[in-house]
Amino acid sequence: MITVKYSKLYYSRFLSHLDLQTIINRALKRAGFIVNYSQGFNPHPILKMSPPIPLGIKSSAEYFTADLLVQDKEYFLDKLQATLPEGIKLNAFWTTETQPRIAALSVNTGYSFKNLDKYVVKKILEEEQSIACEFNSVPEGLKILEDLGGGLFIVLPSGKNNIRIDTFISFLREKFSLHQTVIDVEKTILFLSYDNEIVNADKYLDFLSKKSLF
Amino acid sequence: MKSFDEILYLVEKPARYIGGEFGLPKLKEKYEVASCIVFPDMYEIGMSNLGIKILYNILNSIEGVICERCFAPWTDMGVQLKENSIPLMSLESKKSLKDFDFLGFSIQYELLFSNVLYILDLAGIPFRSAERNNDFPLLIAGGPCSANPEPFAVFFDIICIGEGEEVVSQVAEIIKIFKGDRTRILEECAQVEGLYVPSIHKEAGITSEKIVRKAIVKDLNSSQYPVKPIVPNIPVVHDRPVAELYRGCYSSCRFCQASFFYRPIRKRSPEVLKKQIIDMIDFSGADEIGISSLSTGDYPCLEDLFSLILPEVEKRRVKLQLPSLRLDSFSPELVRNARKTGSLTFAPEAGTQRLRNVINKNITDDDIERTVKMAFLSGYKSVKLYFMLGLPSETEEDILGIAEIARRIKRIYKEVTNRNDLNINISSSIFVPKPLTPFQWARQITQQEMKDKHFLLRKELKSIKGVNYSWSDENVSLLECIFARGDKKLSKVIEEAYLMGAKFDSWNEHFKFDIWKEAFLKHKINYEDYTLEKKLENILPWSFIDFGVSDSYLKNEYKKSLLETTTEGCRKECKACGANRLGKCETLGGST
Repeated sequence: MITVKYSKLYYSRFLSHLDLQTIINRALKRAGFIVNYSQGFNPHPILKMSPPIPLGIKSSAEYFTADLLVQDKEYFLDKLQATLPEGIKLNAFWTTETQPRIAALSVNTGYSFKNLDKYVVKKILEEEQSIACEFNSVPEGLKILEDLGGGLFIVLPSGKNNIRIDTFISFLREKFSLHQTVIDVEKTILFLSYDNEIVNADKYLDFLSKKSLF
Repeated sequence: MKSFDEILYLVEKPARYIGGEFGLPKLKEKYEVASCIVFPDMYEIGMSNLGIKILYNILNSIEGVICERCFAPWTDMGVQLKENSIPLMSLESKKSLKDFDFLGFSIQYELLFSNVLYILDLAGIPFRSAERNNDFPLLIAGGPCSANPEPFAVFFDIICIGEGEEVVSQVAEIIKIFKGDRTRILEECAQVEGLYVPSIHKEAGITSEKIVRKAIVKDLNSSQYPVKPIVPNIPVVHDRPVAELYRGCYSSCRFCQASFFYRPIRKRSPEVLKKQIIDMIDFSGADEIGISSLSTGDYPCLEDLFSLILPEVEKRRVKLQLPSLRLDSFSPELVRNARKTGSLTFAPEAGTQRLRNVINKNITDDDIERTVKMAFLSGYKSVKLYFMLGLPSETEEDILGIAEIARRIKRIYKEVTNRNDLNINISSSIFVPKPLTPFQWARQITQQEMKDKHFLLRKELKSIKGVNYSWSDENVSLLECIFARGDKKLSKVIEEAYLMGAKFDSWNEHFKFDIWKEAFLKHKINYEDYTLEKKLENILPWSFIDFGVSDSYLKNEYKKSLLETTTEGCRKECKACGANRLGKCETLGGST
């Protein structure tokens, strides 16, 4: 079982979850990597994606897991990268014994907001409590922090108490009268719940892949 | 004012407009000629078209030439572009269409004429050739509608009649040499076989002297084929690479324009096809591959081809898609290899043997019975049948014959499977007399007759359980007929209709016949005249083109149809239609 972390940049942010699944499937095929098929009446390649994000949102924290044996990691990444459409960039790679179940375990998503007015950033930070209240969110769900370079880092709950990023952006727009047509947002971290702890998906995959070595 | 990136957030399926697909050739940084292939329909339709893939590939392979793509933006995108004064751009480098050296329009279908103007409007390019100077790109049209280019000729500088793959390189070379000198380019192009230059060939449309000759590819085996096709990022209508077995058709159905337009018959060899198919699968990673031609079952080397490619496609877990199998060419092996999840599709076109003789569709009732029996034995539970209404000499009996075929198929299903769960989908379209067919002189039935025939068939099919019936829009068929046989006078109507809001006419939700009616009225054109029967001695708007197939052959076929006499297909022997004057015709009986 392998898991790959990738980015959706530039125009590829307009590719939907379903489109990407087909794209990755075909890319693996044309790169010459044969994914194992499921058993059953309608066999299909075993390929799992991290939770969907709305169309138009950039991301550097997307994951897919495929039932596939990879011997040479560098060769695999180079070969696969060459068969992907523009804007999809492969970042990291793990081999695990079992399926990491990323979608099932995911609880929070971190987004970084750039190019916001300094004054707006300050106001949003001040009103974290009341924003959380408006979304009826549990305290550990929604978090607003200052990011490097004067932007914001906002954590939204995914899974059970999911807050969609596009809904959240519309909310910010209205509440703080943001007039920019496009707000510069990028999904940067996916958080999973593992062993009653909330961890960065990368850390979890590191752990899982080390475990598989022993 | 919003930017292009911003409006992507405001439209449906923005992925249509982003480009960046896998398989794009690397655009040369230094070039002398920039061209763009324009397909006046949606991305999902255009990216399924084989012709533009071929031309795109050829143009990009010419030294000093680059080629990009542009599709018709859906109406929501069109509104955004206009509102924000963003000119229509190419997908690859997001360059304004106006800044290219030439634009090659692919015109597949009469109902796309309004969309040609929609694109020019969005690109900020004047509609008429005469209104454009050196500041604008040269506009070239091609595609099946070049069988009669007269209704749209005034909008284009050059029209490619027939097959574009050899001609397009010549055009690119001419533009390379004489860039900036519009007059000279047009003069040079007018000398090239296959090119019609409306500003030079002034006799076009009013003469029967052959002043332009159709272009063909002489040898398919050596012609460039897009074995590294662009793989769309979003699902498109035909979401698979396609292999083209041969051009032309061994049958001569008298209503079929493609059969005559793509003569002479030229084959690709199974060996060449095998290589192309494997290359396409490996390059694209597709799950399916299409095998295409006008009548795949008639490809003489089908068995050889299958034994060559089946092991390869199975090894790669790829399914074969076989479209347009002609009923009488089914073999048990083919039925087994085709996808069984879908339904068995074929087109008897007419309900009785008599009418099938008139149109020269050489399928008998026995053929139909044999084929469905075979299909049912191998597990098919659904049948799709295509018919045409309003064919020359059609009577009530012929229409009732359609229902009779459905009943017979149901009976056979019951006998073979002892079940009653068969689905039969019947679709009918209205016959449109098309240029370059023996029926080019025939009339189209009136709107009232269309209504009556639909009513009769609907009533008759309602009483048969398990049959679904769908029929084509009567106004669409009428407009298709008007433009298919139209003349230069119609260009004003197209302009008028576009300005009144006509676009995407091939889409039900956008087609408004009232607009067209008003446009005809405004220019005092009685559109019904275009549907009437024509005299054999009439000069037709497309009489100036030498399509290979001779006028006397077509006339003779028309006369034979009136006598209900059939003409055998050209598989056994040459029927001397004249197409082999253009190039070698590979009928089975050898070429003549």
